[in-house]
Amino acid sequence: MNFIVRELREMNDAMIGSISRRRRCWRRQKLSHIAPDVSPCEFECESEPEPELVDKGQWANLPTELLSDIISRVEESEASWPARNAVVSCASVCKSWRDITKEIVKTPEQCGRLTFPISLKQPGSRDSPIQCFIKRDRTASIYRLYLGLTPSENGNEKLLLAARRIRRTTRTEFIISLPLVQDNFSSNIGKLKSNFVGTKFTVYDTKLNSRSGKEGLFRTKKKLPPRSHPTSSNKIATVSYEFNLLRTRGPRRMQCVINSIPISSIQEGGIAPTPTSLSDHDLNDDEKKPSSSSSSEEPLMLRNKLPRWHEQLQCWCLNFKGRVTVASVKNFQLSVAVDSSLPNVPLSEKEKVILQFGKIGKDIFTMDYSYPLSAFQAFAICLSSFDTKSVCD
Amino acid sequence: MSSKKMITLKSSDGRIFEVEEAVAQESQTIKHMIEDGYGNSVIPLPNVTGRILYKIIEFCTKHVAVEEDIKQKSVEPTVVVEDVKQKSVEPTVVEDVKQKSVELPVDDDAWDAEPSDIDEWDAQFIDVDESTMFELIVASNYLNIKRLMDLSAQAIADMMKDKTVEEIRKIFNIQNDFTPEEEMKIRNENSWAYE
Repeated sequence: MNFIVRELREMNDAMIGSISRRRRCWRRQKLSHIAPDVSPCEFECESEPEPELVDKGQWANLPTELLSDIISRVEESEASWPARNAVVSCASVCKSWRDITKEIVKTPEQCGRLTFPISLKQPGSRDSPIQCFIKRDRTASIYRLYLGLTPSENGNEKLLLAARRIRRTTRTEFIISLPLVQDNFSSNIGKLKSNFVGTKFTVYDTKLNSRSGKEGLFRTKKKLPPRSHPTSSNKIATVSYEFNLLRTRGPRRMQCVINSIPISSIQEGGIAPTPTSLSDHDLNDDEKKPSSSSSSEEPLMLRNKLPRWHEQLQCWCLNFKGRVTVASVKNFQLSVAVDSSLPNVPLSEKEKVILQFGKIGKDIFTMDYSYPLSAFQAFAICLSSFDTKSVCD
Repeated sequence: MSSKKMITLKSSDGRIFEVEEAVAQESQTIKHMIEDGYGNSVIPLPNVTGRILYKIIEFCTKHVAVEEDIKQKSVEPTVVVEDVKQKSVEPTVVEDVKQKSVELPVDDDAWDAEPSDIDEWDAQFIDVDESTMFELIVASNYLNIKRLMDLSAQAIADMMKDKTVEEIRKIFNIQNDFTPEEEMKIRNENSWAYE
C-alpha cells in the first residue's frame, strides 16, 4: 500500500500508531519542524511498516557492543540479591548472551559480589570481607549459609549453601550442597569429615556431575588427579583443634592447612586458585590455577587469633568489630600463620583476619570471609566448630 | 531570534526532515558530517527509517530546548524570581530571596523543575514496544546520540528485572541454542539463583 506524505498531521497519525501519544511537546516546540515533501507527486513511499511485520528475529542481530552495554547495566544495577538473579537469567538466554554475561561478571575477588554458583568456590575479596550468616536447625541437623549481615525481618535472604550433619559410629560427616529448587541430580559440592574425638577435620571438594560418577569418568579425557575418589572428591584442607590442658573454658587452639591454596597466594602479586566450573566436564578448569601445582608448594596455614583475658569483664575477648555479640567458645578469628622468614608478605596480610565466625543469637552465627578463602571453604571450616565434642556451647 | 541554519535529513525510506542545526548536532555522526562540509545538502541516513527518525528528532528537539531553557535561567536570575511566583517584583524581594532563602514560596521545586520534568518526559518517550525500542537503540548507536543510547539501553536493562529466562526469550524472541547438557547445567544454576 502506498501513500504520499503531505503534512505533519498525516504523518503524525500514520506513524505513531501503537506508540504512546504525547501531544504537549509539540505545542512547545518551535525549533524544528518536519517539512512536507517538496512536491506531492515526487515522493512515494511504502506505508509505515506495522510493528508486527518487522523481522521478529531482530534482537539476535543486536550489535555485540550494545548487548554488552545492556547486560553491563543489568549487572551494575542488580548488585544485591534477590534482584541479582536477573544477571543469571541473562546468562541463560542463549550462547551469545551467556558469553557476554560471563565476560562482564567479575569474580568475587574483583568485585565482592557473588553471582553464579561457582562464585562460592572462588576466593573472596581482598579489601573487605564478604559477610554471611549461618542458621542452625537442630532438629534436622541442617546448617544453612546465607548472604547478608544478619537475618532480616522479611526472611528475604539469599541462601548460598546447606550442610547436613550425619553422625556415624566412628566419625561425623557434614555433606555440603547447593540448595537447588529442583534436585534432579546430586548437588553435593563437598564434605567435612571428623575424626573420632572431633579434634581433626578434613574438607573435601566434590565436583558436580550431571551423570553418575562412572559415566563422567568415561566422558572426559581429562586425567583425574591422583588418589581421587571416583566421584571426584579432593581433599583440600584440614582443621585441627587443640584444647588447653586444663580443659577449662579457656581458648582452644585452632589450625587449618589449606592444601588447595599455596602460600604464594598471600605474597606480593600472588593469586589463589580460581575455578571456573563446578562440574568436572569443563576442560577450562585448570585455566586460572597458578602455574605451579599446589601440591608442590607450601600450603596456606591459618591459625586462630588468641583472645586476651579481660580482667574487668572476667572473660576472653577478641575484637569482632560488632559482628559477634554472644560469648561462645565456638567463636574464632583465623589469620595467616606466617613464618617470619617468608619473603614478600605485606604486613597487612599477616595481621588480617581471613575468617571470622561467631554467635549472635540462638542458632544464629555470623561468618565473614576474605581472600584467599572461598565461601565453600569458609563454611566448611566453620562447620567444624559445631562438632568439637569436648566443649559445650 | 536570528534565523537558524536548517539541516536536511533523508531517511532510508525517502522521507525528508528539516531540522535546526543545533538539533541535528545532537547526533555526533551528523555533526561530523556537517563539519566535513555536507551540511548544505541533503544528508542521507540509509540505516534509519522515517518512523524512527521522526522519534529521534522529537527527542533531540526536546533536549535542545531544555538546555536552552536552563542556559537562559542561569544568565538572567530575575527571570527565575518571576518563575518562583513572588507576589511582588520589587528589587527588595530579590534581596529577600537571597537573605531568607528558607522563605521561598511553596514551589521550591521550581529550581529543579526542568531536570525532573525531563526525566519524566524521557520515561514517557521510551515507553514503547520492544520493536521500536530495538530500532531506537540501533539508530541512536549509528547516529551516536549518547543521551538516547543511554536512555534506551537502560530501559532495555530494566526490562530484564523480575523476568524469568523464558520470559526474556519470549520478549526478545531469541532462540535457545544450548545443547541438552548445557541446558541442564544452566537450569541448575538458575535453580540456585532463584532459591
